[in-house]
Amino acid sequence: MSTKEQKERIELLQGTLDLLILRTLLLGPAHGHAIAKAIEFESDDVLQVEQGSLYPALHRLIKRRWISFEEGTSENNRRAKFYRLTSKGRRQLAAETRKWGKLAGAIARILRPAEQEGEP
Amino acid sequence: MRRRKRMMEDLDRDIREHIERETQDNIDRGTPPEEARYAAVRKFGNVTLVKEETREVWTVTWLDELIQDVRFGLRMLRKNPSFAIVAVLTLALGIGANTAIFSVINSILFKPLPVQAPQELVDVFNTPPKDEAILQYVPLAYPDYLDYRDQNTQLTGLLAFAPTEVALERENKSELIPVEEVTGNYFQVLGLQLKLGRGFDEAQDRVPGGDPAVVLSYAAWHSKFAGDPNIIGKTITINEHPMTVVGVAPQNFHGLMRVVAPDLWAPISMDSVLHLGNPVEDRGSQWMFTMGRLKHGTSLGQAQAELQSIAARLIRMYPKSNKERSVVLLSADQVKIFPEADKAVFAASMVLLGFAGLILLIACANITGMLMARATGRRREIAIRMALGGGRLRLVRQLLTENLLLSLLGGTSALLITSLLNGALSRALASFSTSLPIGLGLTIDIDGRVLGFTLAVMLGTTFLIGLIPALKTSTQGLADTMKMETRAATGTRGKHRLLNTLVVGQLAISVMLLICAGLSLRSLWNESRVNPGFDPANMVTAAFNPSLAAYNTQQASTFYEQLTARIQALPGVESASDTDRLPLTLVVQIGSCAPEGKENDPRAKLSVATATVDTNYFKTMRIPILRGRAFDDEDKPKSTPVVIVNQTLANRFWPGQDPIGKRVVFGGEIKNYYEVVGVAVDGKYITLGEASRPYAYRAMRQVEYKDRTLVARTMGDPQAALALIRDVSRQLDPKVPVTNIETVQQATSATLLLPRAGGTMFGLFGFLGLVLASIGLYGVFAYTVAQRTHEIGVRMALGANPLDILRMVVRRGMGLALIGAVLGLIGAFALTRELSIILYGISATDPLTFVTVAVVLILVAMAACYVPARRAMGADPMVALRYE
Repeated sequence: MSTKEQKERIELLQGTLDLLILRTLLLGPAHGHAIAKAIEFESDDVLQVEQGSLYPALHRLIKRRWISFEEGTSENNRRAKFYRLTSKGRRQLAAETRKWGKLAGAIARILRPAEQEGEP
Repeated sequence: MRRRKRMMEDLDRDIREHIERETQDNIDRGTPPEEARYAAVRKFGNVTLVKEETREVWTVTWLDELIQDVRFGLRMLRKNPSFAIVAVLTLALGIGANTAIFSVINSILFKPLPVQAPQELVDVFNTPPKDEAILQYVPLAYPDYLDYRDQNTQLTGLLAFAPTEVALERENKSELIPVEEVTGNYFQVLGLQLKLGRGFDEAQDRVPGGDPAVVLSYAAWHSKFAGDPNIIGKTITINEHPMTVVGVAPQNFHGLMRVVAPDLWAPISMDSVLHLGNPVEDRGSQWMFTMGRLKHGTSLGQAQAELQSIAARLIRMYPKSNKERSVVLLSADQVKIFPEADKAVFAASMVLLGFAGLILLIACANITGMLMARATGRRREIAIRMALGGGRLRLVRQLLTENLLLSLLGGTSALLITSLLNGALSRALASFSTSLPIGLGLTIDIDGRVLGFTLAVMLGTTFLIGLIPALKTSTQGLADTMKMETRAATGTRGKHRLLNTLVVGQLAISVMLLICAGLSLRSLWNESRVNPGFDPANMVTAAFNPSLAAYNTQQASTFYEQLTARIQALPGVESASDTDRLPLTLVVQIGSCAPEGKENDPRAKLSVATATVDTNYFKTMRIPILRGRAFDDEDKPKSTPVVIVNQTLANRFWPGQDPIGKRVVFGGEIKNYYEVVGVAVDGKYITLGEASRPYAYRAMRQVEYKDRTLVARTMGDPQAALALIRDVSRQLDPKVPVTNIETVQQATSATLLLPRAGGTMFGLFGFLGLVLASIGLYGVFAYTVAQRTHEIGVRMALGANPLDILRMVVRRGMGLALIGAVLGLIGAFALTRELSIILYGISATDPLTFVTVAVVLILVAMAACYVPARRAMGADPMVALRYE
């Protein structure tokens, strides 16, 4: 990865990736590659996940029992793990989303005056 | 763990799949294949790192949490160092008492013999005919041993040994030392790697005088030969006979009987030199302890069956000596000292451990009390953590981790204390054994078993001290705790019920321990004041063994005649005599005795302890002769055998009659009558605590023992005479070993040894218990007073007298102390009955002891709550009110 690429993209806050995965799985079970693609696609490539980092996150979520997985075959007949949101995960997603909303709002409120000052 | 492994195995495949998919996507988008794969890998990132991070997801958490808990626990302890120090010290004492006792018990009961494959070893005992069985297990006769050894097929080796004493001559002095006479294969069968040199030559066993060799014990090598590295090949003199040192045993080997340790081993071919007095070729003399090593794959039962068939054959061949004699095998790790003695040793060990356990219980109650007090103080912290979503289990674990830290610190200090104590104990044992006729050898150290025991005690302690407070704290309602501001108003009585119960419980236990201590100490005091029937003050004694200098009976008698005459002539010596044994020295001879005319009436027979004494004995010992006369020069070998009996014997045999002129027989000496010429006053003979027992004296001139004990009465301080005895003896013959030169008071204090050890033990336990209980009391009071600072401040602000405050706090403490004392007294009342067998001259429910202990306890308790109360009284109302 080059430095140029990094500058243009937003680095993910810790825990945010978890939230994005949960959000993605809300639409239905998916395998790892599909989740990565979905995150990239839905954020218009602004949030580009280094695809590998998806896996520790997935395992973390499995361990917390927020998602489960099952073996299946994908569209082109390949074996793959399909990850699925659990009810616990669903609740967690709701809570996290609320928290995220609050945090984003708070940060936005703090940052707005600086923005205005910057503009003549 | 299994789950983690599976997840990690899957991960490899998942990553491969992922990259392939991405490659396919890229190709679909029109990227050339080789570039497509490269782009996919690049996009995926560092595969190794990903795997690493995923693995961490599965591994780190619990360890992480533990580290977190430990860190947090240490921080909590550091924040409150006085609590930490008191708690760790308390636990160190509590656990240390258990570890120390266990390490001693371990060295006697549990440590395997320090030899090769000790689990293969079996003890071989004969079983006597049923009707003659006093002992269930008896040693073997040497010829029987040889038959067992040579005819069996199930053992790889069979050894035999017999403890005895010999005179070791060193620097012109003779001393009596404990030794073991062993078969030549002793060290080979044990597979023992000697420290230096070699073992004995088995081929010489049947050749009298064939192998004049000794193997020194490590301890004797150091204490008697200064650890001389060139000792091998040197000649030492034993019983006037030169013997060559051929080996030195390893440091941890003390022989095969635990506790009892010889200074050296000598082969059975030297029996004539060792003068054991047990005919080697006699099947009637059963004197050898025997141990065999099972062949690989042979069971104890198989070996026993074979030896029993050999024993049966021996019965047929030697019907007279081997009548009904069978053989029994016991696994060597089951036999500690001697099968008959082991039960008592085991029981005593368990009693000691039980007391140590009580001490630990007090210590635990202490810590629980302190933890509960602290936990109450930490309720807000815990409530906040729970409000923030901390799991209850996690909280309990956090609290338990803190307790585990305490136990670990306490246990480590306990091990430290124990290792110091063990060193001191080993030294004490070593110095102790010089004043006893037997050697003591124990390897008391901290081995795996002691560590395991300590660890188990530590874990048990952790749960004991931690569970109640942890559970209680974490189940408290949140809302309740959040409203804590109101605590000063609600008072403290209800909250501390559990705390109070703990204090009362530990006070009660220490009352019981203290009463046991008090009773045994008073019993000891009583025993030391008992009139033993003679006057032990200003007397000296020494033991002589001319038999070890090859004297015959006539020579020995002449020797003693000259010896007593010369000692008596010393300035400051009033009179001197000799005897075969002193009373109260644990050396006893007991046989059956019957009055004339009732020799065949088993009901008339008495078991009577006897001594053989010379003419001046009664005068020297100041034993009053109530009727008749003492022995005199006319009681010669050829004249009428005479005996002097004590009052008890006279009354039992001839109640209401004049015993003078009556006759008795001893043991199996049929038709050998002894005529009673005198009645001596009753005394104490075996223990000071004994009830009056029948005793008889025979005349030395008629029995003529070679080895005797000298007694001499001095006019003043006996020390001067002590120094002269050896000189006098050496002038007569330097070859005769002189041992046990000491005052009679020292010599007869041996019987006080056990009660003294018991009294000291109980005293220590009681003291430890009291110290711990008062620490607990102090801790709880300091805490409750601190909790009531606010209330006290209000009271003082409203004009309460400081003295009233003091009274109020102390009264509450006294209430607890009184309840504890009363419960303890009731418990002790029920418990001390069991002690009554070892108590002398004092009732097991002696009121003085009970009252004294109760008063002592209440005084200590008063002191423990006075200090915090005093602090409360001196509190500035303003500070107290601002406490929140």
